[in-house]
Amino acid sequence: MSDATASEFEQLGASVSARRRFLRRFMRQRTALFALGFLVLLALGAVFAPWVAPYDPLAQNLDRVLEAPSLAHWFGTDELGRDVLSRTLFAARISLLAAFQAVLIALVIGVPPGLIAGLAGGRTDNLIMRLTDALMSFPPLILAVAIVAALGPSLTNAMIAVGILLSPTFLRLMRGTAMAVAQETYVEAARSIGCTQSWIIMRHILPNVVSPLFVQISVFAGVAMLAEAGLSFLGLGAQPPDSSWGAMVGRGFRYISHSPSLIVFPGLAIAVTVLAFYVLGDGLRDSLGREIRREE
Amino acid sequence: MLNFILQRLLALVPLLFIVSLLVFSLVLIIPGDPAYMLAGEDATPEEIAAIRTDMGLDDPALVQYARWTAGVLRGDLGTSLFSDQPVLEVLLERLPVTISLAAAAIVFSLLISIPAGVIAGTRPGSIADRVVTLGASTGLAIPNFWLGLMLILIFAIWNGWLPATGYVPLSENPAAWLRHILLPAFTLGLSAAAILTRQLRGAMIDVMNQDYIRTARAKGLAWRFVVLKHALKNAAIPMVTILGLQANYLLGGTVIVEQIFGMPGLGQLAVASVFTRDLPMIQGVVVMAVFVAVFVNLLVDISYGWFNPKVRPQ
Repeated sequence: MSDATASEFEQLGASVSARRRFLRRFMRQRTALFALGFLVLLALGAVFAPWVAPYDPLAQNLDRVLEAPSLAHWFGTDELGRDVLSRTLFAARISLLAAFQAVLIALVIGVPPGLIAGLAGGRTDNLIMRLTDALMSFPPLILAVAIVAALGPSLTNAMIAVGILLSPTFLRLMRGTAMAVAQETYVEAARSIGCTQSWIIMRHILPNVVSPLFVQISVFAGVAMLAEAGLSFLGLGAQPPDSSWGAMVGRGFRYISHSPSLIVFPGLAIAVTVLAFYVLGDGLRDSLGREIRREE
Repeated sequence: MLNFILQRLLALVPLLFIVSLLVFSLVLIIPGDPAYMLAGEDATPEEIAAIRTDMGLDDPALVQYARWTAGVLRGDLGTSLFSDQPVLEVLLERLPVTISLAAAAIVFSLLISIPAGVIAGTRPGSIADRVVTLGASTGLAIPNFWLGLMLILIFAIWNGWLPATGYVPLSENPAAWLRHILLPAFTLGLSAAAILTRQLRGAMIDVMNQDYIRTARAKGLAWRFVVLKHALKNAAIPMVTILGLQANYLLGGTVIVEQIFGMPGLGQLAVASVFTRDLPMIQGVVVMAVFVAVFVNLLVDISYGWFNPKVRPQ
């Protein structure tokens, strides 16, 4: 019993210092820190939108429709005279939540079968991987459109479709890690002293996959945001009165020659936020890269 | 080589079987009564009954699947619920538009990524490298529909240099085809160009550190010759894989790009069919798209065998 506690303690110590090393390296990545700062600010702006936004995003003013950016309306006004800056801030809520939702769905769909495939091996593994290959042979956006067609256009259905599309990568990541870790001597030892499968998953496999998983989550938050924007742009995602950045660009499309600002600002918001997610992902990867290479 | 091709074809059978199951099950995931959903809110009971018999919705799912697959194998993808035309006929009409858009996008992405990747990969850490790397990240982050709208704004609305929408078949008028395809192909190809540039840059950096490059330089070969003949040739091999993977994304991207530029291709058909609840048509588009994607990946596989005899079965 005391042995188990000691090894547990040791392991805890090792993981804490690995985490500290990771943090120290991450703190040196200036662009990634900047991206993280931007994302935090954006999230705060979205949460506190009712206090931050200069106008009510739904308040119409038919005397001031399709105005160019001015001091009163920094991003201009839309076809109903609504303030575009306020709408962009409120749409951030939908866009961020949607990306989060899609990644969560992808994790729920991808992680358990990945673990099962990696640990069970043999026929189960073969079957799961065949299914994954088939899923990956679909052109992604066409499959998403087909799923939305069957389920009906709504933001949640669109994000279910995007989550399904993103899940194979998580599945492969989990499977690879589970297979590699299951071969390790310490897992064999754990198994020989009668540790249960779930204990091995919780104590040995999950801690090993957490860091690469975070890199993937960050990158996929960007990918999901792009996919949501595309689907909402087509009218298959966020439905009125809700508006995401993609849906704003879709509506602004109709007034493109008269009021380009209607598409410029929400589009820039998408591009900058997606770039921030990618840069953060790159920074996270670089912060743990060396450690993983040393283990190999 | 023939053996190798046959083996690859056989490996496709289980894949296509699972794909057919997934495409068919789109009918099964429709919430509620599919006939009612597909007929629309103001359909008469007769119309709903007609759809029910038309799609055989009263039969068990297994029977429905067998009937649907048998039809697909015979080239019968059903009838459009919206226009009553045979689905395959409509698809074949629109396929050339999508293929020419995707092909033009690939050409664009190669025209951008090869010089950019070579310049950045032969001078890592230089200003040119940083500009290329930042450009590639930005290219990945820009939503393609937004890029398309910006291009329409600049090149069509403000300056009138290129048409904003429409499509002219290549066989009808090559010059007009090019004018119409430039903006959409650039819009579709930019993210592929970004991915290929990153890939080529990395591969060039690796290759330029190899001994045979040093040897080639040491024996006095010109820099340009070493880069183009020795380094690029080897660094380009992984690009073929990435290009094969990108084929899927490009086909997917046509959904948005065709919509923006008003091109009558498969992607535009898919979106229109969502709003008309034309499920047989959507299934048809998905089958056709997977067919093209699988075919392209088969070609990539075969080209590997061609380039590198080591992957061929003994």
